[in-house]
Amino acid sequence: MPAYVVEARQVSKNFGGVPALAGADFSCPPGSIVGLLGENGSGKTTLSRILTGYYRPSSGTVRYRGEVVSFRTPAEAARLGIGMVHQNFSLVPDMSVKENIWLGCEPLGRAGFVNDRRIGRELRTYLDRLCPWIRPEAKVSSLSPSELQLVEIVKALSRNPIFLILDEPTSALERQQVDAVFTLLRDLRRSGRSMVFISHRLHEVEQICDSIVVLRNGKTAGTVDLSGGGPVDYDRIVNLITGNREIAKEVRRFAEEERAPLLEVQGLGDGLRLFDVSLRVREGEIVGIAGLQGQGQEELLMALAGFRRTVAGRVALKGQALALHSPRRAIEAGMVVVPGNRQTEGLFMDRPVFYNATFPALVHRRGPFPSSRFERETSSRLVADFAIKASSLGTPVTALSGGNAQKLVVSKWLPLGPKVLLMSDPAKGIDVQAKAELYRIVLELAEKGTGILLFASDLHELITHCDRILVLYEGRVVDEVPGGAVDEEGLLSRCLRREPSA
Amino acid sequence: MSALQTRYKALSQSSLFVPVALAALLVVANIVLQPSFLRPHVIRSNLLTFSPLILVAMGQAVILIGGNLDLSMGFGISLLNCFIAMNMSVVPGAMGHNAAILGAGLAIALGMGAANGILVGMLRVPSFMATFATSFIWLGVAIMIAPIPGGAVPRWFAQFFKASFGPANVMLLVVVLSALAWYVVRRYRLGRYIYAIGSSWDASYANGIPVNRITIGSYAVGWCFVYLGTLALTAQTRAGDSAIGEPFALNSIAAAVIGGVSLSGGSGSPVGAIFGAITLSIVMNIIYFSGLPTSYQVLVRGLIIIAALGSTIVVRSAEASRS
Repeated sequence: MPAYVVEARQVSKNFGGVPALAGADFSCPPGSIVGLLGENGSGKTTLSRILTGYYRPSSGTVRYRGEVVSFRTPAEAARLGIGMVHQNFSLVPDMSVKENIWLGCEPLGRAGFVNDRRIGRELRTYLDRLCPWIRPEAKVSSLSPSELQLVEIVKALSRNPIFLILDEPTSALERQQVDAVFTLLRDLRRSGRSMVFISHRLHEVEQICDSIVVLRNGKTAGTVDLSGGGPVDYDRIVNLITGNREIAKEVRRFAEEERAPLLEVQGLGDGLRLFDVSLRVREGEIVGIAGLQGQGQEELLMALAGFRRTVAGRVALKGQALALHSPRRAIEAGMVVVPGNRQTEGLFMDRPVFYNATFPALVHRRGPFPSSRFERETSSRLVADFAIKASSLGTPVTALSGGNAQKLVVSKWLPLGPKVLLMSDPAKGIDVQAKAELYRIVLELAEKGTGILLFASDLHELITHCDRILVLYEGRVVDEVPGGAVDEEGLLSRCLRREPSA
Repeated sequence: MSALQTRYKALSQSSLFVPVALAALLVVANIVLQPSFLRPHVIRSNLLTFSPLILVAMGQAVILIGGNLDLSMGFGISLLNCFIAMNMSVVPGAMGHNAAILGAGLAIALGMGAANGILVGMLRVPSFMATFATSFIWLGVAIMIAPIPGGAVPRWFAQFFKASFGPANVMLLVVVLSALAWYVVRRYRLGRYIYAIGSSWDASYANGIPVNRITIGSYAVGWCFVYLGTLALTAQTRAGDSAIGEPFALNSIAAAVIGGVSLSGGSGSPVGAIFGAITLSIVMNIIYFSGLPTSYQVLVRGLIIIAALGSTIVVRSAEASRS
């Protein structure tokens, strides 16, 4: 038996002359879980796509169970027992859970018909262990993000993979669900299966992985063995990820004095997900929204941003009543949003950086048509001010890493001088460095008097950045805590509506 | 919830609910305006008139479900119609020859479908552009076959489609059997994968579905329906005419959408398209019997079609926002 299930040597991949992977090494011993870490754009996704047959490497070799392989399609890799849990899911929305789990390898019955009745034992086993409440007949489009994630995992496991790559499988999950997934992965490891775990959450990587491979700029920056059981050297891992760059320290001075109220919301409700929400954001204040998955956090922000229809409530900005009927109206009033899904709502992915950077300024600028000089100057100033890494202003946004794209989403609003910034999980799926830079922008805005309403799924982010944190539960504000006065455990138990255990 | 309520809920959530209700509504309106509507010979003649669009709309529905569309069906019908009418023999006893011509017609239909499928599926030309372009090739060939309208099909061919076995009219049988054929296709992987690629191409590819072959397959299945539709049309006109197919391209798309098929792919069914085609066809009846001045008829037809399309789409988006 070969020493490694999968072994990649000096693997490179270029896209249109731009290297996404430049001679990376990676290996995974049988019966182990390897953590794959790195900033956005470091090559993690490219590497996993090479190992699963989406891309063919430009150079280098991949061995699978000792033999050199070169997959042409994902189907070819799947036939040999290589599975993938996709970050953006590989589920067909119009089909049922059951049909999705079997998709591509349906059991056939009489006359070559698809045999719908034969639900495999594995399907029920994994569904019961991770999400017993999901009916196999339910349509995938009716599932919540965390349920989608669980079904995606169940699907990959049902195919009985020998080698499985999990790309950020926990980012949409609550803690109990993460624990259930981890227990399952440990059982699989015990039965000899090998896995790659891609995540930005170091503490999860520490919990589940036997070793870590860190990628930086398309190369392997180093490997860390975790099987010894000693204390994990976080500094070393962070250094490998960032390449010893200084990470700006996130320090928040909490506003002491009472400032003028900026945004006042009274009894806001949409009849479905939000009920009687009242809140106030003062000038320069960062107000956090905490809660378990899907308690109305995103709905609240989208309602305030004018995307979502409301049926009750009053909203006032600087004392002036504001009708929330369109994003355009909200933007004109000075309330802008950093949406949860930057690819669809935040950016025009195929358009160049300058186009995206100046778009809000153009749409909401009065007067004659803007000159190309205006576009060039505005966008180059934003790109310089916020250290957005792009090869040129004409580069399409698809070529930017997640963190840089997100910085663009935030910074494009700044020429408008927004009064209130609504942020929906802005740091989701971006790396440590980009996250720090993003919050530096946010803190600077708050310094200048912009009010910020921030929803983050990572409670730590809320605690370190917010003056006050509101807790949402089933669409209502049920609790409020000052930001500095609570730790993660305490905030979580408030989200769970449990008294903190003394 | 009572059993009745449960059943009502299941019914109203079925994708067929709106198209069937719409078609029923228009049938009632038609009966009011034209009391003879329910007479057997009127039903028969309506079936004969409606059936080409019904069958072509079913074919269009299959392709729409797969996430594409086909603008070349109209002139494809012209080509098939000209080919059949110019080549069939009216001489008695030419059964072998005529059977060969009909077989060749099916092969040509599958060939046109496969050509579109290859352009769209393998060469990744957007279906809108690819089929717009091929439609002119089909028209060109049709004009080459029949520069002026002409040709003839044997009497028995026309008689066959008008025949009835008791209550079962041949045209009705063809439509019902086509619908059943679709249910069979759906039970194969091909049918299931057509929905999958239409719903999410990326997810289908990630799951190892042969996306190219399935796209080509969806066009091939669709064009089988187009072929049947052409036979029904040719049985009515008994002649070849290169202009005859043109309205079918867009009418079939409208009928499929009224029938609950999503333009973005992945949902709906050819059976819904049957009711969409009936709705679309009955509109003409209603306008005729309503006694509207001729100069208003086209405008009113447009308004009714907009209302039908609108109600389908409004109901669907209301359902989507509820879930």
